[in-house]
Formats: sequence, structure tokens, C-alpha cells
Amino acid sequence: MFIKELWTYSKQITLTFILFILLWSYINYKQGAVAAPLFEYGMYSGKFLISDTQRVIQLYANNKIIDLTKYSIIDRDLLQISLQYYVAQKPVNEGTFLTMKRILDHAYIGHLMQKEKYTNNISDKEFTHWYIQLVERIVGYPITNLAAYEQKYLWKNDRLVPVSSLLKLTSIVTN
Amino acid sequence: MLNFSWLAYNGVTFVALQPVFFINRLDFTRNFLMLTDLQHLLLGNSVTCWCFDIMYVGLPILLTIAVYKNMRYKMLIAICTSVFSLIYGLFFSAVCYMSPELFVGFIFIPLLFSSDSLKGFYYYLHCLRFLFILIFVSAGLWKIRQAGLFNIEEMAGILLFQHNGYITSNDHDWYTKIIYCLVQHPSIAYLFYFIGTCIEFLFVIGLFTRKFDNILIIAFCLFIFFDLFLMRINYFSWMAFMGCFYFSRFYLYDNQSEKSDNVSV
Repeated sequence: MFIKELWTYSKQITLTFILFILLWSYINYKQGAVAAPLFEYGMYSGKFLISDTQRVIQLYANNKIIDLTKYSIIDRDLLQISLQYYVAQKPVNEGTFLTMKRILDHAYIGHLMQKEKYTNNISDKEFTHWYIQLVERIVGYPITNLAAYEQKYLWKNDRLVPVSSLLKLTSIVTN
Repeated sequence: MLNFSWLAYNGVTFVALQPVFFINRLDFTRNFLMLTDLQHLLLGNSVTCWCFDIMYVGLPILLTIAVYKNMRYKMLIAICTSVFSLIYGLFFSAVCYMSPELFVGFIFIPLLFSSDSLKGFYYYLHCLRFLFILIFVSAGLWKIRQAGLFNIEEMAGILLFQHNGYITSNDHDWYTKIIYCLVQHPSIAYLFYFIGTCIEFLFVIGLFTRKFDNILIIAFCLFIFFDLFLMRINYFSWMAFMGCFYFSRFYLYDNQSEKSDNVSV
């Protein structure tokens, strides 16, 4: 048995290995917070339904919609997820800070966490400037006007169809 | 090196991105490291970004040289490479779309070379092999725990979630048509999800025998290929673990008269 052979080779390595597995199992059992490199690998395990509402972000560069199908997987992810993350970062970071502080308070190191370290100082204007540069690099032409809209879609009649009007994302500051 | 070159070519490094914000997650290690405020140091700071990227690619090169020349500080370099890969992965995933789980291979594989003997290398290799099996099988267990496996619409729903921006961009694109076809036939789409889960559980065999490791390598390659094609998620970085499966064919052989470790098939 491998563990027996490992024990014969080195007791410290065996105990470290077993402890690692036990900690990882505990984290997976508890769900919630992880402790890198002890991760949970439950991606796409929850229930997804065809009837779920899809929230789609559409980008308009120079008043023309950006066709995501023209770009590579990485470029599409950069375009979409950078914006999604920016929109979500403020509440996510604040929520994470409060949760982690509460947990680390039990280990008496929660007081070391200062909110300024765990939140961003960036303004929408600064983000827009950075994001426009990113989009310009990907699309390959200068952008004088950039806008992002969110629209809800549902699966109807074998297609995704819009079921709401375009909602402008204010994170992109227009001139 | 190959992975970093690919990321650098696509402008997905600290230097290329010059990030201006980060997003946090419930991760003890990351939040502990964030006490240093390294996350703000990386934002829009060219020098720090350059240092991070150079170290990320430089340390594995240094480790390769150290292993090749059997240098005295090989163990230290291996541990440093592993630790820095963890730090880089955690902070990079905070500023980019890449999830930290993708860096797991680069975090653990350098530890293989922290051993000072062939015997140690053998045992570390099998520890990592064992670990990967647990990780991969756990992904299958999660699909049971969260009931995704019992939902016939699962894959169809996932495809809509994953590709909604793409398919609403262009109705006539070939990939859009494939996604629409799979969603219109959810049972066929579900088959892919089910087979993927079966591949995850197939790795349980590896806990009991090494005889089928070649088959497991092929199964994993199929898994990441279809993951890339259907989900457009790149798990190529996990291929590093397949080295543990490939080299598992070698057994440790102790020859007491020679007082050294020989390895034989």
C-alpha cells in the first residue's frame, strides 16, 4: 500500500500528506471559504436550467455593437469578464472583507485587516480609461465612444430572445 | 514556459494587463496575503508587474537549470517556485478572469524537484498523482452533491449561461449554431456532461492500480479537449499532472549491495 511505503520512507512527509488531504476534505465538506492551494472543484455542479434568465452584456464601440464571435476565447473573456468583475467588485469586496474579518477574528488576526487594503480606490472614470485601452487593443481600432448595456434574455421558440430593454451600465463613463 | 508564452502572446500577464482593480473571494490564503497590501502595489504599477512576471517565468527556468546541473540549492529553488506560483496565481486571478484553480499544476509540480534523491522524487510523484486523482474525482462528487448530474437540462443550461454573450452576438456563426443545436436537444447535450462526469470518476481506478494510467491520460486529454471546445475553458495547465501518470510506470528498486536506488520498469 502506498501510504505504508511512504511511511517507511518518511514519517514527516506521510503526516504532511495525510494532513493536507484531511484539510482539503474538510474544506470541501464545509463549502464556502477555501484556503489556496486547497480549492473546491465544484464548478458547474449546481443546477442550470434552460429556462434560467440570461443576463447579457453588450458592448458598443463607436455606436456599433462589438461582435464577440470575431475574437479569440481569451479576448472575449477579457472584454466581458473584466467589465462584469468591475461592476461586481465593490459589493463583493466589501462582503468578502466582512466575512473574512469575522472568521479571522476567531484566530485573533482579524484586527490586522483594514478595509482600505481590501477595497479598490478606483473611480468609474479611471476604469473607463483602462477599459477603453483594453478594448482598443482587442478590436484593433481607436474608440471614441464606448458604451455597455445589459439585457435579459430567455429561451423561447428554440432561441434566446430579449425580454427586457437595454439597461445602460453606468460604470462606463461616457464623455 | 509554453503556458506563459501563450498568455503573454494573448496579453494576459500583469505587464500586459496593467490592472487597475481587483476582485476578492473567500480564500483564507489570499486574504492573509492581502494583509501585505501587495494587491494595491500591483495595480497600475509597472515595476511591480514586471517583477512578478519575470519571477513567474524566471523561477521555473532557474529550477530547470538547477535540476539539470543537480545544484545544491535545487530544493530551495523548487520550494520558492512553488510558493511564488501560489502567490502569483492568487493575485493574478484577482485582477483577471482566470480562476486560481488553473494554477494548481504550477503550484504543485515544482515540489517534485524539492527531493534530494530519486527515491524521494518517486514518492513525491506518487503523492501528486494521488492528489490529482482526489481533485478530479471530487469534481465528479460535487456534481452528485449539488445535483447537477440528475438534471437532464444541465448541460443545455450551462451552455446558455457560458455562451449567452457569444450566441446573442451573431446568429449565423458556426459555433452559435452548434450551441443552439445542443440546447435544442438537451438530452444529447446532457450526454457530454454525463460522459465528462464518468471520466472524472474513472480516475478512481488510479487509486488502486497504475496499470491503466495510459488510459487515464488519454481520458484526461479527451476531457480537456471537449472542455475547451464546448465550454471554451482552457485546462491545459493541468496537463502537467499527466507527467505523474506517465512516469508511474517506473517502480522503485533497492539494490542493497550498490547502496543506491535503481529504477526499473
